Parts: sequence; structure tokens; C-alpha cells
Amino acid sequence: MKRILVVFGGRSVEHDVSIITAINSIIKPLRLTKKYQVEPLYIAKDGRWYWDEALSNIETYSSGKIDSLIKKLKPVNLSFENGLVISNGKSFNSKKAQIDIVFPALHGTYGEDGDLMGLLEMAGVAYVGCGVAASAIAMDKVIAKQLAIANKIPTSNFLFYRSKDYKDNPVTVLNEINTHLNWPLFVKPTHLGSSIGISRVSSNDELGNAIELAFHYDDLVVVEEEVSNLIEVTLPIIGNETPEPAYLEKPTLQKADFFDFDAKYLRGGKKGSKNGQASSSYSEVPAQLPKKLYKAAEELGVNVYKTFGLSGIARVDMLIDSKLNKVYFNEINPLPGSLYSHNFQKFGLSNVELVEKLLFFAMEKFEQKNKLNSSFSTNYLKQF
Amino acid sequence: MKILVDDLVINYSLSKAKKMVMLLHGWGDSSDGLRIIFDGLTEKGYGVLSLDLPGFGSSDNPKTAWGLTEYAKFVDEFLKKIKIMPFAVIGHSNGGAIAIKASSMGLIKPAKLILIASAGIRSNYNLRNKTIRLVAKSGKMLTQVLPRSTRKKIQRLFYDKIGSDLLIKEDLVETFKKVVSEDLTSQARLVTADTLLIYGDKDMATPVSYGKIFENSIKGSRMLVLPDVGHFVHLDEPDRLIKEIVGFLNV
Repeated sequence: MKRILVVFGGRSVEHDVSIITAINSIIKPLRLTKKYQVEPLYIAKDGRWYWDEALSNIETYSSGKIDSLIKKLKPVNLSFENGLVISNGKSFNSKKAQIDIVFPALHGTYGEDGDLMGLLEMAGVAYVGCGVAASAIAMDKVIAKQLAIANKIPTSNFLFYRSKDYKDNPVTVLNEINTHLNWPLFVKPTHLGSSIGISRVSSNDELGNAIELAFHYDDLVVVEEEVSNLIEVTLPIIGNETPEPAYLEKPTLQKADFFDFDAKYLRGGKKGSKNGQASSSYSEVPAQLPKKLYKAAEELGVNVYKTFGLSGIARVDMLIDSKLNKVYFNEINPLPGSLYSHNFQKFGLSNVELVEKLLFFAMEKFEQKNKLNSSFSTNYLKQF
Repeated sequence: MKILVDDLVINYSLSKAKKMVMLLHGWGDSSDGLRIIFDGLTEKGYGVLSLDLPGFGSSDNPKTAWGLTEYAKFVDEFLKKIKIMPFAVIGHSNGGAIAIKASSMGLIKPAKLILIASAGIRSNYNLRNKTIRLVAKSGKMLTQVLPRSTRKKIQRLFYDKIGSDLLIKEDLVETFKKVVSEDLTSQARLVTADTLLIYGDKDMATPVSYGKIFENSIKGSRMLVLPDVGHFVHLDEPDRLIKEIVGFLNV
């Protein structure tokens, strides 16, 4: 029986979303198969790692018992013996487990951005999802937009600033934005997902406040033009060399000005159904678009997936100008919340089938990589 | 929408119009709780600004224990930051207490002030509070020998039984203690806004007697007592409340 380590929580503002993704969309369906030994590994907000069966129970978190539980647990030790081995202590009776596949369920910093993937590459263990570089690029809105432009993938006009640039010369920054970009604008922290710290602004007063808010979360901030006549769509895709898109999905905006964190996760959105997945009020699946436009968006999504070297699973967000029928690349989410399983389900792939497919892709990528030669014989050391 | 005020991320809803009204919610509530008033006033053509006060809704917790003074100063900072000067402020329960405090400090100067089931009177329940404090202290001493988790359970049962708001936000216990320690009877005398007080006759948390004290203290204020209405006036009688508010604002 293969042992799967599901890693979640993490040092990220999306810590809580990660817990739901892990427990509802990964651990539960994997256990339903009765084919795997599933181990929950929770990373607390302070960065400590814990491994215990109670960590796979949602009540541990919703009841607030998590704080007292982790006080009793010993932090996890990792060792890289023929892959990844975890243990919960160094004494003779400590629990130890050799991991076959890691299933990362971390959103945002220190997880979804490639940091965890680097550790797993060093350990030489198979893991689900995008690799180090693809994850890092996907989670950096500036580099992602620059890479899109370099590959002639349309994206909205933007400028970006470091915290110091703005603090030293706020007037220069505001003037530059006013000169080069058209209102209204979106202000975003570069490395965060789940719409945290994002503002839509239509005046200079709002712009200053929005930039300040974005810098509260990130050192690098993107300011971009809003796409006119906007239709926002997103496309979850799975696979390695041959991407398999699910349905194009259209979030349905309600009272919120744009699709912010509360709209996504709190305001009858993903909380609409108890398992943390989208409710019908949250989005339209598949997006009701003219056939040609639907196809154009699907093709652009798949093109992005291939260009960025994404693997396993990712979600590509796009913006459509419905008057010009033009599709723009917006951003990539290398680990969509709850794996976007509601979309795959509509597409005909159950949550169980989805996680099993993702394990298959993880092994496929791992085996492919293992076939590559990582040593090279030279006489270099003999001269010393 | 979110904004950074004094290094705290603050969530707020804004619907702009010429005449702006600010809503301040009560303890344990959030801007969502006053959504009925927000929508009602927006429909009547008013602009409305409703925020989650620090510690509530989707706003950050205060970094230290805050009292009414800190909350009043915060409201001032928030308004300066978004550059909106509301012509009217509506406060429910503890939001009313914050509005009185901010007005008395000269931090907000609305033309109209509406206090719905406003808190801020602490003296009436002095005997009850002293008794509760005595029981709580004795209980604390007696339960010292018990394990921490059992002690917590007993404490929770006790506060639940006496109907205390202390456990509504357990992470703000010190702030709660600071907020409820201040009586606003004398400060209410400094309020200069045209004030309407609305109380429900079935309100146990902030009874009509509180309203009467404010009515006596705030010059020119008038009080409306709604029959068969409890503490959450906006939930018990939303249509009547909106009608009264709009009638008062339009004068």
C-alpha cells in the first residue's frame, strides 16, 4: 500500500483555506479508495510541522482544539533516506514512515510558490503538482506577466513597484501610474493568491490606500489596468505533457466589486456547500460563452499551461473583453483551492478519480525525471 | 473592500452618494449585521459607509487591549484615511457607545446622530456586576486545583449562564473589560449633534432606562421606544426602523 503524505496549513495568509483543501478534497477521497495509507502533515502558522491522525479531522480546527493538540505533539523530523522519511521524535519508540508520494495542499507562501517543491526535489520523493520553477513563476504575478508577454500571450497593461520605491517617492509612483495606465486599476500583492490584498480603484486617493494595503502583504506590488467589458473566467487543467482542461468556469459577481477573498470563501461562496467547494451562486460551470470565445479562452489556458511548464494540476485565470472578444491571461494558481473538484465533478471526474489521477501524474513525472542522467564523469578532481 | 488603518487591515462596505451615513456595529457583530440598514438607506438615496471595527468581522484585531477612547480615535483615523465626512452616524449597542465617545472627544462632528440600543451606561447594573465579580473571583479561587481544561469549561458555563458578552470574542477579553469599564453619562453631555435615541422595550442588554439617561444628558435629543422589540432593533422591526431613521435624517 502506497503511503501518501498530505502537507497542509503553512506559513501563509491562506493557511485556513489549505486545511479545507487538504481534509475535504484530498484526505477524504484518498481514504475512500482504501488503496493508500494517508498521513496528514500539518504545518502550524509558526512553521512547525506536526504529524498525527487527529490532524485530519476538521473539528480539530473548527473547535479551536488545534492549539492544545499541537502543544502535546512533538514536531516532525525529516530525513532523506531513499526518499523522504518522517518521524515524530528521536526516541526508540517514535513513529516513523517512509513516504512514497507527497500531496502538497499548501496555498500561497512557503508551499505553493515552489519552496516546498524544492525540499521534495532534494529528498528525491514523488510529489503531486507543479515543479519548483513553474510554481515560483506562477506565484509571481510580475514574472508570469513578463513571461506571457515574451511568448506573445496577451495580458493587461501593468506596472510594478517595490516597497522602497513607493516609500521613497510616492508622488513619482502615482504620477507614473497616471501617465501610463488607464483607470480603473487593480492593485495586487505580487505573490499572494485567494485575492488577498487586492483592490479595485478608480481615484488617486483610493490608489494610494490600495498600494499601502498591498504592501502590507508583499514587498512587490502590481498595478494593472482593468479589462473593459469584463468577463472573468478560469480554467482548471490537469496533466503533464498532455494537458487535460476541465470546464471553463465563470465566477458570478454579486455585491462585491470584484471577486475578493470574502466573496470566494465566506459570503455564500465556497462556504455555500459544507465541503468548502463552490456553490451554484459562486460560479457558472461551464461558462456560458459564444462557442468561438469559449474555444479561444480554452486554447489560451492550455497554451499558458504548456508555456509555463505546469504539471499535475493548475488553474489558469483569464479576462475577456466581451466587446472585442479578446482573451487576456491574468494569473495562474498552481494549487487551486479544494482542487476545483466541483468543476472536475461536473466534467465527469469524481473527487476520488481526480486525486488518483493526480497521484498517477506525480509518479509519471517522477519516473520521467529519474530516467535523466544526473551524473557526469570528468577528471576535474584529479588535478588537485 | 479593505484598507490599512494604523497598521490594521480594516474591512468596510461603501456606497457613495452626496449625503453619507456611517454605521457602527455592536460588540460581537460586524458590518454584515447592519446590512438591513445599509440596504435600506442606500435604497433611499443615501451613501452608506459601514465598517468592521477592529476585532470583528474581517478586520484585524487591535494589537493591544482597546477601550472606547482607542475605538473613537480609530474611527477618526479611518474617516481621515478614506476622506469621507459623514453627515450622520448610526451606532448600534457598543457602536453607539463609540459614537458618543468620539462625539464627546470632538473627533466626529456629524449633524445627526442615531443611537440604537446604545450601550455606555454602566452604573445601573452596579450591584449585579459586583455580585457577578464576587462569584467569579470566588469561583476562580475554588477551581484553582482543577485541571486547566476543566477550569475553562466551568468558566464558560458560568459566563454563558449570566449572559455575558465576554465569550462572544474570547480573544478580545481584555478589550471587552476595558470597553465596559467606562460609563458615558457625563460624556454624553458633550454631544452636540441632533440626536435620536431608539430602544426596544424588551431589551435586556441595554434597557430603556439607559436611553432615558442619554436623553437627559444629550441636549435636544429625543427618544423613541419601540414596543415588543429587543436589543437587535434592526432585526425585530427593520421596516419601522428604516422609516424612523429616514424621517429623522430628512428633517
